[in-house]
Amino acid sequence: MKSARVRIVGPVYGIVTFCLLAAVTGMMVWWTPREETMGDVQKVFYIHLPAAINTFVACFVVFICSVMYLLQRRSWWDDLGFAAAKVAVLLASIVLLTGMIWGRSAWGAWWQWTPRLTFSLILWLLYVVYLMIRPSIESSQRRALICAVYGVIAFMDVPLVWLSTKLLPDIHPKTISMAPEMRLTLLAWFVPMTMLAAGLIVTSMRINRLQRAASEPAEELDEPRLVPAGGQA
Amino acid sequence: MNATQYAILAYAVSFILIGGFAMWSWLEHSRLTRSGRGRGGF
Repeated sequence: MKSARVRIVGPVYGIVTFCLLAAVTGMMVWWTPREETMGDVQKVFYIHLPAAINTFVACFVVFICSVMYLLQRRSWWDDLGFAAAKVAVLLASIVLLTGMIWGRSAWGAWWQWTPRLTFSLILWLLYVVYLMIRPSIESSQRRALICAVYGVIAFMDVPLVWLSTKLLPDIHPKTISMAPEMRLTLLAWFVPMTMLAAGLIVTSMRINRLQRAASEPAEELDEPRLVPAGGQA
Repeated sequence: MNATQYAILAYAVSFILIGGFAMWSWLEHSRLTRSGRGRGGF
């Protein structure tokens, strides 16, 4: 009975997320007013910002998992970090592409080598490399260790993306004045986007656990090894 | 292209990426679960 209840949590969560995504899309199209200067392309902002914030959150999850793996050496942290890195790349791709499309309309160019855009591209590349180096390392423990160290280093770019418009001259918008309806729509978009990011991380994590269970002996999926006081494991 | 078309393009690209990733995750998870490989679990 319990397992049947657990089994429907995933589909229900997915359906709720999809319905909320449809609702905020409808809200954005029919209810939110059109911005006077930029027109409809300003509405790209409603997906761009939540995707960007959730990219940072996913990168932070990779960072935490990397640190925890280095401390505990549990495969669980490596699998969760890998799942978060996949979602970070997905969301960062959305951020870059929506930003480029907005830039084409607002600035007349697909890309500008400004600090915010450059550090964002570097962030995307860093996590793409994280995903690319994993299959090239055969030993699962060595792979987890290298990725954990890399995950800590890669996170250093997140503060640079965040602070780039504050500390360096940049044409990327810093603050945007919005009508109350626009602000509400933006806040509403954070709900399904955050649910989506969390759901995708959990699903990817489950896939990673299943793949690891299928490819490795049972003892490598263990809990942290308990080391007796004053002795070796 | 006008501003409306750019906005539609941006959302179309985003939804294709999200939908593609979600669909792949769901199919992969179903395949692994159905084939009974490993113990899995979160």
